[in-house]
Formats: sequence, structure tokens, C-alpha cells
Amino acid sequence: MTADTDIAKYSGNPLTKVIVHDPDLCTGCRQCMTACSFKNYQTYSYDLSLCKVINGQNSEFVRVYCQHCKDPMCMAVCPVDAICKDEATGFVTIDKMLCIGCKACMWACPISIPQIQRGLKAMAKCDMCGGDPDCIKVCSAKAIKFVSREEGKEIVGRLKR
Amino acid sequence: MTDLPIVNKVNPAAVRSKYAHFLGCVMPAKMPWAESAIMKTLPGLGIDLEYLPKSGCCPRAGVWISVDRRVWLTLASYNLLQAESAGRDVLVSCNGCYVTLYEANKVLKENPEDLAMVNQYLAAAGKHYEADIRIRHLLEVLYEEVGIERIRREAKKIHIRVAIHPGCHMRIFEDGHLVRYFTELTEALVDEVVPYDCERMCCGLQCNLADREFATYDRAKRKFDSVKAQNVDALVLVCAGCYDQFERASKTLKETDGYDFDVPVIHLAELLAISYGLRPDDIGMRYMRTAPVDTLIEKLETSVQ
Amino acid sequence: MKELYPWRRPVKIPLPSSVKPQLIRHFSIGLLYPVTDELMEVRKKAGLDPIPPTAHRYHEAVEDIQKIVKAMEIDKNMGLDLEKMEYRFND
Repeated sequence: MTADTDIAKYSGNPLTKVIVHDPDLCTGCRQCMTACSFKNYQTYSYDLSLCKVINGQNSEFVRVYCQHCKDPMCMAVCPVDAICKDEATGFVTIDKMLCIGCKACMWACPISIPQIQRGLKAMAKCDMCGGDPDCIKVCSAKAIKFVSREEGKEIVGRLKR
Repeated sequence: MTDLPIVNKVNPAAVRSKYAHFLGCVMPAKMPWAESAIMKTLPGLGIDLEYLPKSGCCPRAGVWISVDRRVWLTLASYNLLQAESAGRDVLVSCNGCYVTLYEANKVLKENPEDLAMVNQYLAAAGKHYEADIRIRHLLEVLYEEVGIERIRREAKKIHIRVAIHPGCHMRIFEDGHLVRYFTELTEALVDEVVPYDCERMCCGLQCNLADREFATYDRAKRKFDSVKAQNVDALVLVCAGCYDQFERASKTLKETDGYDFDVPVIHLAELLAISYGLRPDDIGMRYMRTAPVDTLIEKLETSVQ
Repeated sequence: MKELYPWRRPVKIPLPSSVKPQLIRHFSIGLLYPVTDELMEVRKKAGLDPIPPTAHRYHEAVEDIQKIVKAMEIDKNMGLDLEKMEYRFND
């Protein structure tokens, strides 16, 4: 088995894009969180932000955000099929007209990404701002990168070492 | 349209060391000693430096990129066009202002349609911008144009131990050259640069927009604790935005918790000024400080005697 | 279909409450911090002009900024009255 098929097997279509966070570069300024909450709720609030930057075990920062999984748990568990994964872009999105706000996706997600949307009985999660994420634009330290799955895997592999 | 400024088309090499100093919001209002140190030291190092007149807020790109991008580009060009009409490049010392102006200038240079849009709005005030200038950081000018070798050779060592705070926006280049310049310049001027735990951590200025408590306690205070533990003489920075946050946080912490951050926060240009022979009182170093600087000034004076 | 959803349609430029006072200062004096008497004293001691050569000294810069803001209709969209320096919506 070649490396190429490896990538395809474990991370989905290698050409679709993902966000990769590098804790070695992150300064914890949380500008991505304010940009995210502004994009989605037009206010600056850490509670409403769909990505979170939290303190790690040492003095580094951990970013908790939707990974747009190859085989999303949230999609599998949704009773009304409100969650779908776009095969072309790889983005996992929630259709808020179909969502009934049962929070099943929140429990199913390994890192509890979906959260209830303010003002609606529907769930909200990162939709990559439709392909041009606002959080990437404001990260001065270049700790978050918007890259293809292939490159992302390479970066994560380097980080693990 | 009659009073458009004439753009000087001069050979770029000849313009190289002509700069207009963009002050920003915080430096003239809270750091007069830093402004004085830059304006008095750099001409002596062969940099042709003047003020950038009529400048306003940079404006804050972090806010305006998400609210309305046009405001960011137009108000940034309004600041830059004053320098362009004087045939000068822009020198910025605050990291936040640098990123705002540098990125806006880059966008306008690369996208003619954005430049046309900006000029359409600038016409309301009878102005025009060509995006024909460069934006340079104080560190780039010191390291590349004055030359790190020259500073290492000429500057008198100041016998203090300091901690440094580079700040988030200093990391905008992938190669990280600004942070390297900052570290090397500080090392050239003082005895020892002491590393500390939260050196990379943000000052927390941006967090004020969302949660003031978090900005003060989880960012600034953590940083203060970590700096205090190293028992250094000063905390050196170049970013006016970070200084603004440190000043506000230390004041709040003193008033509400009685927490005393007794390490003076100083600007790199002050160290440069002192080591090139200016006296602390020439740049008004004793006033408007976050912490008492008398001990530090004594050490500075004995080092250069 | 998404643009048909009523909660997806932008109505006016929404403004977080934390930046509202900052914008009033930005559009009325050109910068975020005013020049106080104490500052003028300290600037003199630092060997500088008491009033910095920014929009603080050149009031026409503030007028220009206001003209540009009006041309972009930002003030209208944010509900900021530039004459009175007040917001129309206080939520």
C-alpha cells in the first residue's frame, strides 16, 4: 500500500481543505475566537465562538475546533439528517431548517463541537465560513493554517515528532 | 481635484533612508519617552526621520477586517498618503499599527480594483493614494539599515538583565525575522536577556474586546507573574498596543487586588538612546511609568558612565 | 436557499458594544486617546511638543476622516450620528 492511498483511507479526499493549528506558534491572543463570534453572531463573545483556544497542560495553547471528519459521528447520529458532508469541499454543515436541536451531535462528537445556536432551537458548528474562514485572516502568528488534507497531515505528523 | 498631492517619483535607492514616523494612538498619549527616544536617536544613526503629520488611528485591522474591510483600507491609506506626498517611506514602531498598514499597503499594491475603490472614497476629502511606498518596522530599520554589526560595535553595554515581550503581531512573517531582530538588538544593548515561561503568550489586548476579566487575569497577570519570578530589571517591548494593555492591567490589578507589578515596562528605543549617550532626563524617562523606574535609571546611568 | 433564510440576511452593520465608545473617540478626535493637561506637561519634560503632530494638532484630519466615513455611509449603517456623536440603536 502506498502512502497516497494511506492518506485517502484515513483522512478522506486529500484535496479538500482543513484548518491545522500549530500549538508551537499560537500566542493565545484569541483573535480567531472574536472573529468567529463576530462572523456568526455579530458580537465579540468567547461563549458564542465556534472555535475555542484553551490553556494546555504546560504553557502552550490548545485550539478546539471542528475537524470536518472523513466519517463524521455527528452526521451518523443525526435523527433528521440535518447534517451533511459536502463531497466536493469536504465541509460538514448543519442545515438549520431541518435541525431539531436534540443535541445528539454534541454528545456523539468526540470533542463536543456542535453547540446550541443563540436564539434558535438548532445546533451551530463551524461551516468554514463557506470556504473562506475568517479566523485564518486574523491570525498574526500564523498558528492556524488553511491547507489541503495532504499538507495538513504532513504538518500534524511533524508536530507529533 | 486640483489640490492632489504630487507624488515624487524618485529612485527607490535614494529614498531608502527617508522615513516618516507614524505615531499611532498610544505612543504620543502614553509613551512620550519612547517617542522622544526614537526621534532623538535615529537621526544620529544616519536615518532621515520626520513625523508623519495629520495621522489618526491606524485603524484597528482586527476589528475592521470583520466589520467592514473598506474602512480598514481607506483609513489606512489616509494615514499613508501623507508620507507618500512627502516622498518618504513609513516607519512604524507599534506591531499592531505595522500589521494594519503593511497588510493594507500590500493589498492595495496587489489589487488595482481595491486601490480604485479606496481612491473613490478618499476623493470625498480631496485626497489620492498611489500605494507607491514601503512600510518598515523600527526593528527592520535598526537591524538592516543602521546595521546590527554597527550597533554591536558602537553601543555601550547596559548592565541590566531584562525580559522581552515580542507580541503576537511581530510574528506575521513565516521566517520570524522580526522576532529574531528584536532579540538580537536587545542582546546587543544589555547584559542578559532572560527567557521566561510565557514569553510567547499574548499581552491580552485583543481579549479586552470580549472579556476584560480574562484579558487582565488570564493573560496580563499570568505574564506579570512569570516575569516577576525571573527577578529582572525591566520588561522590554516595542509594541505600543502591548504597552497599553500592560499599563491598563497593572493599574486595574493594583486598584482591585493590591497586586504590584514592580518591573518597569520599557521601550527598546529607550535602551538605544541611553546606550548612545542620551541621559534619561533628556527623554523624560521618569514620568508616566507603570512602575517606579528610579532603581533602573540608577543602573542605566552607572552603566554608561 | 440559504440567502432566503431571514436570520441569514444582514440588516445593518452590527457593532459589538465594546468597540462603540472607541469608534466615537476615533471619529471625533481621530485617535483613541485624548491629550490631557498631564500629558502635555510630561511631553514637555520629554523634550517634545506638548501637542503631538497627529490629528490632535491638525483638526482638518478629523474633518477628512468624517468626510470619508460619510462617503462610505458607515455612519448611517452603524446608526452613528456624527454631529451629536450618539448611536441611534442602544442595544
